[in-house]
Amino acid sequence: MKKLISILSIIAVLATLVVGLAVADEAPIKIGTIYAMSGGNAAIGENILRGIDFAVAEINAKGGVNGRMLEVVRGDHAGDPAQGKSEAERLITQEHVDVMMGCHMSTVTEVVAQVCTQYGVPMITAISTLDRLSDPDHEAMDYFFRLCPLNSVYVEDMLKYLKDTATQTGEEVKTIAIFTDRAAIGQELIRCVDLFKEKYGFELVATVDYSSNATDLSAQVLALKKANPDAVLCDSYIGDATLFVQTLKAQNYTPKLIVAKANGFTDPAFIGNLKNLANGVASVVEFNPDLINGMEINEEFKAQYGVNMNGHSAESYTVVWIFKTAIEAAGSTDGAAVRDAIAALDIQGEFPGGRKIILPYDRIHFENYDLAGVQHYRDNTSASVAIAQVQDGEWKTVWPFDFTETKVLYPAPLQ
Amino acid sequence: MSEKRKAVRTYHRNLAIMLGIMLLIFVCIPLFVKSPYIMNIFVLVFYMSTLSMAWNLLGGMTGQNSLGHAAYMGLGAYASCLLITKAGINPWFSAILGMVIVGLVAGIIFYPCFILRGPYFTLVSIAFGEALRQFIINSTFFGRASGVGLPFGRDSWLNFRFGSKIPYYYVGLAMLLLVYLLMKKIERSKMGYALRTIREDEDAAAAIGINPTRYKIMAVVVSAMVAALVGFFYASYIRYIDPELMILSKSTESVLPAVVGGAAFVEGPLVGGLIMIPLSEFLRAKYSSILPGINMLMYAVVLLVVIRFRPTGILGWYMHSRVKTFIDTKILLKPPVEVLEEVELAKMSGKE
Repeated sequence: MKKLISILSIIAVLATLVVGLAVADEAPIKIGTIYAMSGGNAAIGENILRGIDFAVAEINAKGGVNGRMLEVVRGDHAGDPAQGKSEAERLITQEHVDVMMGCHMSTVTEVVAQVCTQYGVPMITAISTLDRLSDPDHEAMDYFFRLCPLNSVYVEDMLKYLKDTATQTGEEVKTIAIFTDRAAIGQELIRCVDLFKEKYGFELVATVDYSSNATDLSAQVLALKKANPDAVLCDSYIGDATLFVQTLKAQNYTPKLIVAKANGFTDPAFIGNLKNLANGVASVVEFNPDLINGMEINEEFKAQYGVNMNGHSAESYTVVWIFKTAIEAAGSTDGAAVRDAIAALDIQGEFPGGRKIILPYDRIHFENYDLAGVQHYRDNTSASVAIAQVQDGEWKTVWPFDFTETKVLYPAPLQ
Repeated sequence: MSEKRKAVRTYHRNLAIMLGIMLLIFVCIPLFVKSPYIMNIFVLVFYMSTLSMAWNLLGGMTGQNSLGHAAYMGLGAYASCLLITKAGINPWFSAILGMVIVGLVAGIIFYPCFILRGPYFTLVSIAFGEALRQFIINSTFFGRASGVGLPFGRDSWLNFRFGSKIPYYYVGLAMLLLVYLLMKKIERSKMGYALRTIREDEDAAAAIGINPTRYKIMAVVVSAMVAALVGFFYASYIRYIDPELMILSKSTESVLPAVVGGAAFVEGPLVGGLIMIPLSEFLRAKYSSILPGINMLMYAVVLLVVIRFRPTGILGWYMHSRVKTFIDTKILLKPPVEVLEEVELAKMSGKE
C-alpha cells in the first residue's frame, strides 16, 4: 500500500512537470491577470476574466498583435494584498508576463501596482476605483494606468443625474440623504458627496449608516423617512441592498429617487431577490446591454457565456484592446516602450481594427489632471458612467440622455 | 560518569555544527537563488513562522489558545505605520514603539480576561480581534477602512525600504532567529516551567506558589509584542496595510504552522512554516489557474491528514521516529535523550 502511494505520488509529480514543460510554444505575448478566483469575491473575478478571454479570442482570431498571439496567465489573489504581491512576482519573474491587468480590490491593486512599477511591467486597472491609487503619493508609480472612472467621478455622475432628472420629471431635487455601509465603500460615498454637494446645490439632510450584513434596517429606514429627502444615494452589498428595499416596503416609505453606486444593487441577484419591488431603483453602471455601442457585443458575449456582459467584463475587455493598440504602436513588448505608448494613446471613438468603445464614453486617453483640488496621475479622464434604472424587471439605461431613449421612471414605484 | 559527560559534550558539539551548517545554508541562499518569487516565499516563511512562534508561546506553551494574533500583528503594523507617516519617526524606532504600545494594550485588555479559562479565553481573543478591527474601520485617525500606505522612495537602510528582496530576507531571518532564541530562553527559564505547569494544571500551579494570572499576562504581553514586530515587518515589506489584515482567518494562519510542526516544541512553528507555506504557494502557482480554489482544498487535506495521524505535529512524530535515532547515532555520534537526562541528574546531584 505504502509503495503504491509513493509510486502514484511520483507519477503525479512527473505528470505536472511534463505538463509544465510542454507549454513552451512560439513566444506569445503574455497578459498577466491578478483577480480573486477563489474566496468570497470569486464570482466577480469570473466576470472579469470572461471579458478578458473574450477580447483575447477576438484579437487572436484576427491574427494577434504584431503577428504574435495573446496568452492570458492567471493569478489568484483571493482578496489578500500579500497574496497579490506573491502572485505579481510569480507572474513577472517566473511566467515573464509582458503586461499586467488587475485587480478587483483597490487595496490589492495598490500592492500589485508597486511590484509592476518596480519591475517595469506596464499595468492597467480596469475596475479599481479608489481615488487614492492615482493621487500625489503614487506619482512615481509610472507603469500604472487606470481606465475606469474614480469613485468621485461615480458620485459626481450620480449627482449630475439627479440634477438632470428635473428636465424629465419636472421636479427639481433639492435635498438628498445617504444610506450606506460603514465599510470602505460607504465612507467613499460620504466623502465624495461632501466634495460635490455644494457644486450641484444639494442639501444633505441625513447620513444613515449600518454595519455590513445587517439583520434589521428598520431604524435606518425610519431615520430616512423622518428626514424625507428628495433623493436617496446608497451603496451596499447585495444582502443589505435587498433588505433595504424590503424594509422600505415594510415601512411603507417610497423615496421618489433612489440612486445606488453599483455594488450590491447591480448584482444579478438583486432583481431576482426582489422581483417587482426593485422597479424604480436606479444605479450607476459602467456598462449596460442596451447602450447603443454595446448591443452588438453583448449578443455575441451572451451567445458564448449565457449571461449578459456586465460592467466588469466590458471594462476588462476594453483594457485588452488598449494593450493591443499600445503594443502595436510601440512595435515591441519592451516595458518602457509599451508604457510610453499607453501614455501617448488617444483613442477616439473606436479602436484601430476593432470595435467602437463599448463603454458609455467615446475617448480613452490617460493624463495627469487636477480633480477637486488634488493632482491625479495617469487616469483615463474621459471615463464616465451611465445610470440605469430597473424598469419592468430589467436594467434600462436612463442617463446620459444622449446614450438612450428610455425615460426615467418617476417617482420610483417600488412595486 | 566522565565518559558519559564526554559523549554528551561531543553530541552537543555535533548538534551545534549541524545547526550551524543549516544556518549557513540559509545565509547563503540569496547568493544562489536569483528569482525574487522564490525569495518572496522565504520571506513569507520567515515572518509567518515568527508570528506562529509568538502564538506558540501562548497556545503551545501556556495552553491558552488565542485566535486574535492577527489583531496584535495588525495593531503593531498600524502603530508603526502611523508613527512613520504621521509623526515622521524613523521606522526602526517606530517598530520598538509599536511593540511597546501593543504590549501595553494587550496587557491592559487581557488582565481582567484571565479570570476566564479554556475556551472562554479563545472567545475573548476572537472578540478582541474583531473589536479592534471595527475600531480601526470607524476611526478617521487610523485611515478608516481604506488603510495606510508607507511612502515610496529610494532604497535605504534608514527607512527600511528596498526594491530588492535580499535585505528583507536577511532582516526576516535575523528576526526569526532572535525570536527563536528568545523563545528558547523563555522555555528554559523559570517562566517557561511556570507556563507549562499552568498549561497542565492551573490549580496545581497556584497551589505550589506560581501566580497563574501574572505568568499568563507576561506570556500575552511577550506574545503580542512579537506579533507587533511581525506586523512592522509585514507593513515594511508589503508597504500597505488595511483592516482586513486583522480578520479571523489571518489569525488561523498564524496557528497552522505551530499545529502542523508541533505545538509542544519551540521549533514546531519553524518546521511547520517551512513545510506549509512553500506548499501552499506551490499549490497555488501550479493549480489555481486550472481549478481555482483547488490549492485551498489540497492544503486542507494535508492539514487534516497531519492532525488525524500525527496530532502532536511533525516534530512530535520525529522525536520518537527511527529517523531521529538514525541521525543521532550515525551523524551526531550517539547519546540522545536518555543519556542527556542521566547527565542532567548527575549534574544536579554533583551540585548538591
